[in-house]
Amino acid sequence: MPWTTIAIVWGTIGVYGLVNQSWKKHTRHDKLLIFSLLGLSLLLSVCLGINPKLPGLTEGVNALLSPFKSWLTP
Amino acid sequence: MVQGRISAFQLSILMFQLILSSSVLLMPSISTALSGKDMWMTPILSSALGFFTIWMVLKIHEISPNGSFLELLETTCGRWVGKCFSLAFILFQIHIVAITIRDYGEFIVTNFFLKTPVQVIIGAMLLLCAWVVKSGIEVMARTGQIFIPVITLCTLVICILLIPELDPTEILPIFERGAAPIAKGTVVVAGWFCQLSLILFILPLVKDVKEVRKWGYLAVTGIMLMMLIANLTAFLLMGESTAFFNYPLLTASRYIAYAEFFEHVEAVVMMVWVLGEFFKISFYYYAICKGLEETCRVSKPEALVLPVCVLLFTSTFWLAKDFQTVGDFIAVSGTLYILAGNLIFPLCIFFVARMKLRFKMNQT
Repeated sequence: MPWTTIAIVWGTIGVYGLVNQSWKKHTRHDKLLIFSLLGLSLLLSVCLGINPKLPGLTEGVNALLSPFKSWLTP
Repeated sequence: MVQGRISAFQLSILMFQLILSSSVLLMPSISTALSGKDMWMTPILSSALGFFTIWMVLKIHEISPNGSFLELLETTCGRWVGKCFSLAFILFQIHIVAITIRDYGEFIVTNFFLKTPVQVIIGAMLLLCAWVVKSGIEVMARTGQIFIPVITLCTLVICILLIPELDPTEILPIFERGAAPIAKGTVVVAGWFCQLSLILFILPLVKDVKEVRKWGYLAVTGIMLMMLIANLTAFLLMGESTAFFNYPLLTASRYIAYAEFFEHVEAVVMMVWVLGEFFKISFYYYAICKGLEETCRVSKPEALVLPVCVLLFTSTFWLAKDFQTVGDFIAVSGTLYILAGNLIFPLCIFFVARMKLRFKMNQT
């Protein structure tokens, strides 16, 4: 993912969070979950910025199920 | 996320579009590659799995505490193992919707908006879906009631307008290569039908669950008929070369030209695709938010909508890097993966839960 896209997306999220501060009214448990999801997304974005070809679940599933590939080939 | 309730009829309309949005465009190519001239039989045969999936989902709903599959996972497997299974099931749905979103983005960018970055296309769709999800399942269902008949009508009109170009002899001889290619094509199409198990997340929000069986079976029948029509239209027009096109119905729509006036119908195909994928992505998005809400015991579910939107956006570029990756996944392991997650996993949990229940009843 290009760094410009990452900067625009996270910049927009940051500005939205500052303008609409309704997230402060949630319980501590909910805020923990919100920020965990956002933190995970940020980590993924940065890793994709460093390595756009970052291996993911798709490659893992392909490798795991490749012995069965012949079952569904013409 | 406004917690509304919907009727069984509204759920069936959403189910109808959930399956058809991608299958009508992608399935003719895949089933022709595997089954050749007999590709038209694959939706008829695989609809049996659609009926079975509806039956299975209703049986799971009956034995689930409060009708929730994720709560059933906790009562069956223990609290923490159940939560791990719930998170794995949700991650599986995130993976599938990431592939779907990327496929949507690539279709739009490669066929229509050639100079627009795919991130803009995907971001715009996700923001729209976030709005609908935040408004609640009722809004999604009512939007579906308005637009899904329009999508269906447009698809049927495209198929009807192609009738003069079709050659019925393309499907002959029947059973040319035997049963094995038909079986392979059936299994791949069955991968679409088993996505109906996503309604496990939505059943607790249905007012008249007793009607879901009837409307669910009707939805499966409707899906089967639409798939059959799309398959036949594509194959009777292009024959075995259907396998070489990524989106046969889009290519087929370019053949429509009446009186040098009624042309460029591929814009209608784009509308059908965009609207259809909007409902599919929204449904998955809602199910993921609902799943996280139940697993993590969130007090205000609307708090999850935007973080999940960002997670889906990032996951799309991680789990489905480009069209080549998506194509390889679908060709190599996609069907087996989807069948394992949407069919085999819930079925195993159902059997274990039933055995535990029976054991408990025998003890008392």
